[in-house]
Amino acid sequence: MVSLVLDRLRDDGIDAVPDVPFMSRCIDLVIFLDQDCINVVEFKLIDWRRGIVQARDHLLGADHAYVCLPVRKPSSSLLVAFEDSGVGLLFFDPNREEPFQEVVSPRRSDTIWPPARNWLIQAARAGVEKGESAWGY
Amino acid sequence: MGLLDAKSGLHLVRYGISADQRYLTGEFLGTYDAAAINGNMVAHIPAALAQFLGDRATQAQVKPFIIDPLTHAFQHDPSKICTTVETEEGAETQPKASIRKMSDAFGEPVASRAGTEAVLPSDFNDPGLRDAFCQRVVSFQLDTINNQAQEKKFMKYLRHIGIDGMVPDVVIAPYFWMTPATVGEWQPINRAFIESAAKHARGASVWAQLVITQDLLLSKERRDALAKEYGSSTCQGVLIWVDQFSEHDASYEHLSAFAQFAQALSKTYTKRVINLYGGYFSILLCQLPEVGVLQGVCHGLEYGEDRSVVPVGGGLPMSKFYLPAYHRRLRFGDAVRAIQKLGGFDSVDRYHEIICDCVTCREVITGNPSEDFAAYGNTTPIQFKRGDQVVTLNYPTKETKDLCLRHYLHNKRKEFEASKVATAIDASQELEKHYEGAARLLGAGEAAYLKDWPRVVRGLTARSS
Repeated sequence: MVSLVLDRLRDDGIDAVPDVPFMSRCIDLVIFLDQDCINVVEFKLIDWRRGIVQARDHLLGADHAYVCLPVRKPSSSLLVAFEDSGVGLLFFDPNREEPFQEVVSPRRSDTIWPPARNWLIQAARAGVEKGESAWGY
Repeated sequence: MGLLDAKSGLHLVRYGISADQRYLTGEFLGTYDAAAINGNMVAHIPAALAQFLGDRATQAQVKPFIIDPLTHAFQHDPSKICTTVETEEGAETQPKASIRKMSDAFGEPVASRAGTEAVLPSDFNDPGLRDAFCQRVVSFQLDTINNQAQEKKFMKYLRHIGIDGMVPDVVIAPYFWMTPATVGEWQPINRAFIESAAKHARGASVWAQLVITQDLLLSKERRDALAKEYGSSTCQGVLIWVDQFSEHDASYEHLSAFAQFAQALSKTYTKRVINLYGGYFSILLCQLPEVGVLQGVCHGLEYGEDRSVVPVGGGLPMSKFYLPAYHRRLRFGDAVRAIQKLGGFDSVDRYHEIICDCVTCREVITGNPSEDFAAYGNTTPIQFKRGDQVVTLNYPTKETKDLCLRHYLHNKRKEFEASKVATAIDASQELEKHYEGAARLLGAGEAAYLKDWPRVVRGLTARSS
């Protein structure tokens, strides 16, 4: 699913870096909308609760965190869990013209820790240098 | 009489591998009471251990130590004690060198089976063989380091200050792990080992090591039977190791059962009791002398407050920071968030006041606490293959691991020191103050221990009065 999303983002002119190591985890996708706004996405096929925990950890460095799931009929427990957590929920459907559907909007991080922010930028930059992104951050 | 037979609130640290030595000496030598040395280390590097102990002998005594004979290692799947070596005929599985040396010292019935088949209770049916095995395990503890020490030049000096040798503080009888399925067979053998060890201990105090699964504790009937069996034996004390017993993750029922079991041994049967793998909950239990629960706690250096009896894979190393307020190692990200919430990054003084003022934190947190704290979380990216994919993950740097461990050890010392002046009830109230904050951060389940530990302490105190 990550490569499908990555291709689609690049088609839309949005650059992103996959598999960025950050603290003790690896972020599936880091999207730099601009210099001051870093969004991260965790992709899950089934275990969305684990996705929330992982995504929340990224909020020490990122402004917004999402979990992206294959499109489905959302249960109320799923929606409540995401709304409570502050992590955004995306559904991805490669067959639609607009493949992303933002089901729950994320809250902006209020826990950004400057050293972690720097670590995230450095790690993503290293990904760019390895050719994993053409984006010249 | 040894230290373990006399002192309360004992702080033991496990000497598991050679690399641990640097954290048991120098600035840390005075932070613990005794070292628990793994038997395979004694078999493998006895001269180095004699040197380690001799170099640090002061005031007419060697740093007290005990030797865990690790006899249970021979009852598991033999592959757990083996390693693969390259020979001219290709790769070959063999017992690890240190385990091989230990099994050779212990003799039959383990020597011929080490690495090839697991030892069973029936292998000890012959009383003569059992007694001879026991004698060798006891001699191994009394003689292996001491024989090396006698050959060292420093013994001349040590004799001058009244030290004749290097013998362990107490002797541990051979022991095997018991589960609900095997307790019926192993218990009589473990008991026989205790009685046999007393015959061969040459005047040294004999302790039992009781290694059990958590479910053996939950049943009151089984718990009482075990307490009676060990309580009525001739051992002076019992070293308890409950398989994978994390004080932070255990339910109230498990914590309470553990405490009641230790209390039965200690109070009803007047045995001295030490938890071999314990954390702050066990330290609290040492603070209840009138209730009589534990006389000491041992822990390892890394993630050593609980341990699985059957070795499991190491997993990926992770940065973790011991947060003194929560008495728990937290994943680094959680530690940062907890410190943010507690206001620990507001200023250097505030950090030292409410987060930590240990020697290491005084060295690290000096200017900007938020920036300085990154030293506890620095990592380096490492690539490895997971299936067909190359994955990059951040591993803590050597310096980061060193800082986190030093900070942890200084805090353990502080916990033991505080336990000597504060009551367990006061300490429990401190814990409860942090429950809500921890629950908001980690979730109620992860933080439940901050309520459950005090509840157990109060229950023991109430029952006692």
